[in-house]
Amino acid sequence: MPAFVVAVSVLALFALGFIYYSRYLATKVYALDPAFVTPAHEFADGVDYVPTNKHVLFGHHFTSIAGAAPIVGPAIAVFWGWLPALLWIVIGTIFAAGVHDFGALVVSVRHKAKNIGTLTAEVISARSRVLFLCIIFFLLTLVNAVFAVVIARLFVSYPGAVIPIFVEIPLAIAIGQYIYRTRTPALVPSIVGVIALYFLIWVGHHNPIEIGGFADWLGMEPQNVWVIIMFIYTFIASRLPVWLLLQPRDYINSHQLFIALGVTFAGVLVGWETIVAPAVNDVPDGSPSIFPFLFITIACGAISGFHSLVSSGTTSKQLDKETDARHVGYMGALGEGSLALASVLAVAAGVAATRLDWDERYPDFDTASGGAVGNFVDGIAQFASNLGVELGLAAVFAAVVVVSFAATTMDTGVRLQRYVVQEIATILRWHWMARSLTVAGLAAIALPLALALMPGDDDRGFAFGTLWRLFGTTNQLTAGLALAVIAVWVTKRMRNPIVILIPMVFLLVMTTWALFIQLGEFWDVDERWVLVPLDLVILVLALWLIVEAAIALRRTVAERRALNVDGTIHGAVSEQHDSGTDGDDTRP
Amino acid sequence: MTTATPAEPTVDTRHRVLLIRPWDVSDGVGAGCCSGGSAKGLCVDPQHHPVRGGTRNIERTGWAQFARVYRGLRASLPADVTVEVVDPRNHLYLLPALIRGARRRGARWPAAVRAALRGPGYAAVIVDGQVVSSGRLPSPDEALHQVRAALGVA
Repeated sequence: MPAFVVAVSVLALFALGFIYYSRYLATKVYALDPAFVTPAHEFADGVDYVPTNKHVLFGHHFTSIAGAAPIVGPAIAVFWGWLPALLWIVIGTIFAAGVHDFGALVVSVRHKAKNIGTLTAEVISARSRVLFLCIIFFLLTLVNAVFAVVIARLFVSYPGAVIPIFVEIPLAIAIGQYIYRTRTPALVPSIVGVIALYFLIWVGHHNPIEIGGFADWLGMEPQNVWVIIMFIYTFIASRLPVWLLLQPRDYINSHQLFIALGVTFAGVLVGWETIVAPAVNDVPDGSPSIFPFLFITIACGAISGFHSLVSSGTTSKQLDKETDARHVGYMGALGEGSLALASVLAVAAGVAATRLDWDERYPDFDTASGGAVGNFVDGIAQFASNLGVELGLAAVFAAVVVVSFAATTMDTGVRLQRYVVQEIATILRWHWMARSLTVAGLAAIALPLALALMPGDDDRGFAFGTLWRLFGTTNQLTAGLALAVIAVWVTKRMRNPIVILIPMVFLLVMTTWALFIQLGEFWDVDERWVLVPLDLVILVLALWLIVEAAIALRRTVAERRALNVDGTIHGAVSEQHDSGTDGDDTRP
Repeated sequence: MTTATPAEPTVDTRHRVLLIRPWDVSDGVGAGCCSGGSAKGLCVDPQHHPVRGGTRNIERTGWAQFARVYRGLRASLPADVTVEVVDPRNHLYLLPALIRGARRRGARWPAAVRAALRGPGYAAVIVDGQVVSSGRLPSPDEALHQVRAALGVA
């Protein structure tokens, strides 16, 4: 089947999802009120709380959530066949991610734009705040570990990417300083930055940096040397002010995002590639089963718990009208789904010319997961070569796109992890850790570094595939927690929460199921025993989350039953239920 | 809630004022959803964290001055004149909006594209696609004066 036809079909389904399903959510489930005074108006300060046009806010929201994660998961999951991967992306995006991202935004708006961590404590229980912090801690640990491995593997496989990536750092700082000092419009210098980066890609392509000799001298695998280098870099980068490196690099990244998306879809159209991957793959015995592992392998791109942080952390403070949440939140999820679609097209159609070629890249799960990012890079390179770019150069271009995003994710991941460590240390009264950026920073990188260096057969790449599954599991747990918050709130509003409960229960079943299977798997394989405690801890968090969500929902349903239709409480003489049925969203 | 007094109801309702957030005041970091989306999203709960408070203060120097300009414009212009704060990285919105604005003013395509590329300058104030101030953050009074002049009202 032509990849272009698949792309158009999926985008059409996304459009239908937006037109019909998001309208249903807006009117029947979240019951949006265009007259509701949003926090952006109520607390308007021109800084955090700024009423913002929905088109402006969508641009900001989408560029905030789009990154490397929706690329990696689908590139692995095509192992089970492109059809189940794509079905989960389409169904997950329309019926789970849209509900989640849209819902998190609405609930936050109805609670003075509080973030999901605070809302968890308020809506579910005070204990849940600790649960939330623990889940975020492990999520970030795994984010940092998997992206370190992603970058390291790409540097080993595409040594031409080393020069552009490392020269991009001073380049971004220089552009930032130039813009900062001259106060010139940022667009042109940042486009110049992209052009300079592409020149560096050409330079890097002709001057690949391989560190095999250095690694041998150290007695280490080259991949592990890159992992250590990346953690040293991120430890330093996370200490720098955001404006010095992260923000200027973001200018370049934002251009790269749209260029990569444009290259993908234009390349698919021009090359008219046919999908060579099997619709449903006959996987070898002993492979992870499609249930539950497909649904945790593709997290971002189908549903990502991290989006609740974005929706509730920033976007909710800028929503002009409550009804705009549909445009911003739901459409943002569709945008992320489109990135996942691009990834599937790259690894199902772009990466191989024949089924035989494809089978060589996806013979078993470990090889598929270990080579997934490389397959994506090669697929995008093929699309770029359809547009006239030399294939080798195009591969370095695609590798640079992925590494740029992954490196920025690591920068912020380590920074965010440091905050979480400090927050947990504050709760535990470990002031020596809470107040020291260095100690907290070292604590933030210790565990992900250890995980990324975990022994394993490098060629088969089980370390990456295993870590990615744990990352996906934890990300889905975060989504489950956010969906629980949304479900409780919807129940309080006397609305039917079934469309939230279905994805929530589905995600929690898939994650706990996967955790149980992995527990046995890690226990049985000697080299993976180190993951047993991690899996156990995440499993405990999942069970804890299920209990908390069940208690909160049960309590809410009981409270709802105790209310008369006019909002008064059974047995109360004339006491008005002054918080209405919305939680704390009433206004004077 | 900020409410504007409709002091000059004669202003055309289609007018749109864009305030480009100075890039050192903006909050995007481009790390995808795994970053929490922005510098503000970097912290799970900024209000609860003393160390974060210190970091935030460093990162957000100048936010208050920018906010005063926004609040000044919003409070003084009629409610039906749209005042938007836009992040300079938000090309998805800015480029079409600026090109459309320039085209409406009769500019040819190359000139419209040039205007779009030059538009989102540091702390730029853009009225209907026309840059009326750029390169430094104006005082609230200056900004109001420039916007009123561009709108053709006293």
